[in-house]
Amino acid sequence: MRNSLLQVDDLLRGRGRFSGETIAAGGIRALLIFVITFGTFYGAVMGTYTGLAPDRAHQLLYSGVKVPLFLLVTFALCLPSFFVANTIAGLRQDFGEALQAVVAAQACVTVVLACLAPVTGLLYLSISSYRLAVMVNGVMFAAASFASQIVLRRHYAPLIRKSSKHRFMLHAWLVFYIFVGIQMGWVLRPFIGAPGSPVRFFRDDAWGNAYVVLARLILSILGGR
Amino acid sequence: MAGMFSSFRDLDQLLRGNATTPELLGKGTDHLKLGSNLTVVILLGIIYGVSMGLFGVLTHEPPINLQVLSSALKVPALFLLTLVVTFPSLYVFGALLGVDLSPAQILRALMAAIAVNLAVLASLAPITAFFTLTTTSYSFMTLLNVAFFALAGFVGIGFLLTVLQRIELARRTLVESRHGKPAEPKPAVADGVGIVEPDEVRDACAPPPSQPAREIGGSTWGADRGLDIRFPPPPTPRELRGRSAKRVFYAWLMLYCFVGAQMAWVLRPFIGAPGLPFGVFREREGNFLQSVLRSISNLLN
Repeated sequence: MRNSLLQVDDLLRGRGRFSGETIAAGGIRALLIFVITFGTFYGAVMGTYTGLAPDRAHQLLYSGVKVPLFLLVTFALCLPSFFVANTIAGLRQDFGEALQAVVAAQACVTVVLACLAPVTGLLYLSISSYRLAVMVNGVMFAAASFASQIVLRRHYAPLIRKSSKHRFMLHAWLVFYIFVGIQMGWVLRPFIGAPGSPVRFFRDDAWGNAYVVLARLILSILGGR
Repeated sequence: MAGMFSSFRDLDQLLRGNATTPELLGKGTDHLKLGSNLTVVILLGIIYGVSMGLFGVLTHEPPINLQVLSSALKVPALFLLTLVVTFPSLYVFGALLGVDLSPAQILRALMAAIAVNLAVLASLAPITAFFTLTTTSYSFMTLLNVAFFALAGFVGIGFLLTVLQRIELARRTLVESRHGKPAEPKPAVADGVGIVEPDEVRDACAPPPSQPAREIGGSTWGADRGLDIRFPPPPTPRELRGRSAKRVFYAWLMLYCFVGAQMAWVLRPFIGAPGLPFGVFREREGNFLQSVLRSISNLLN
C-alpha cells in the first residue's frame, strides 16, 4: 500500500522509475493499475449523486467501472493508428517510451481526478440540479486533462530532443484521443445517473453520434427552432 | 489539562512568530506540532461556535438551546472538513509542479495556519456575542459573521504564505552552502507550451552565479538578504517553474476559499434563522454567494 503510494508520488514528481528518461521494467503495468484503481474510485464518487439511494447502489458500481473503461477503451482504439504512424515516421525504436508516456498521462488523469473526488462529493451535497452535477464533473475532467499534460510533456521531452517528429506524433495522438474520447463519453452515458430515470449500464438511446447530435443542436440554435 | 496548556503555549509562540523564524523553518516543519495545533483548533472553534449559536437562544421564542451545541460542534468541523477535502488536491498539484515538500510537512504548515486563523476568529467571539445581545436583525448577524470569518481567513492565509516562503528560502540557502558555489542551470527544452526540465528539482535548486539575491516571481522573496538593485536577468527554468508553482498555490487558495464557503453552506445553520424550527442541517438548495447577496439586499431594504 505504502509502496504503491510512493510510486504515485514518483509519477507526479517525475522521479525514480517514472522519470520519463527510460522505460521502467513493469512500468506500464503499474500505470495501468493506477488507471483502474483511481479511475474506479472517482467513478464511484461520481455515482454518489443518485447512487446513495437505497435501491440505486449499483449506480456506484456502474459509474466506477465506466471511468477506467472510458479511458482504457479510448486508449485501445487509438493505439493501432498511433503505432502505425510512429512506424511510418521511422520512430519505431522509440515506441516503448512513447507508449509509456501516453499511459503515464492517463494514470495522471485518474490520480488528479481522485484527489478532486472530495470536492466533487462536497459539491454534490450542496447542489440540487442534475445539470450542475454534470457541469461539476466536466470541470473536474478538464482540470485533470490539463494537469496530465505536465506528465505527458515531461515524458515526451527526451523523445522530442531526439527527433522533432515526436512533437507531431504527440499532437496527433492528442487530436485522435480527444476525437474518440468525446464519442466514447457519449456512448458510455450515463456516468452520473439522472435522478428519476432507472439505473442502467447503458442508456436506451445511447448509440447515437455525439458530433451529429452537437451539429443538430447548433443548427437548431442558429435556426431559432 | 496540562496538555491543553502546553497547546496554548505553542499557539502563543506561533502568534508571536517565534515558531516561524527562518532558522527554525530551515530545519523543516517538524516543530509545528500537529496534535497540539489540532487541540487548539477544536477548542477555539468551540468558543466561536458558542458565540454564534447564542443568537438562537437570545432572539428565538422559545430559545433554541440546542443551536449553541450544534454551532459549537460545527465550527471546528467546518475547518477540519475543509482541510480534508482540499488537502489531496494541494498535495497532487504541488507534486506535479515540483514543490519539494512531503505531505506531512504540508499538513503541519496548514494545521498551524488554521490554528492562527481560529485564534483570530476566537478573539472576535466577544464582539459577535455583544452584537448578538444588541441586535435582532438576522441578516446583519449573518454578514457580520461572514466578515469575521473572512478577516480571520486572510490572517491565516498570510501566515501560511510567510511560512512557505521562508521554507523555500531556507532550502535555497542550504543548497547554495552545500554546493560551495551555486550550481550551473541545467539545459532545458522549450516545447511550445512550457519549459520542461529534465533533471530533478534539487539539482537545479540554486540560482546561477552573480545573482545571489534575485527575487523569484517578482515578489519579495529574498528581500531580507540586503538591497541588491539590478536589472533582473531573464528567468531560469527553475524560476519559471517556481512561478508556475506559485500560481498553482494561489489557484489552490481560491479552491480552499471556495470549498470553505461551500462547506459552511452545507453545514448551515450556524446562527439559526428566526421563524425556522431547529434542525441540525437544512435542505439542499442555493449556494453561499446567493445567500450573502440576499442578506445584503435584506439589510438595505
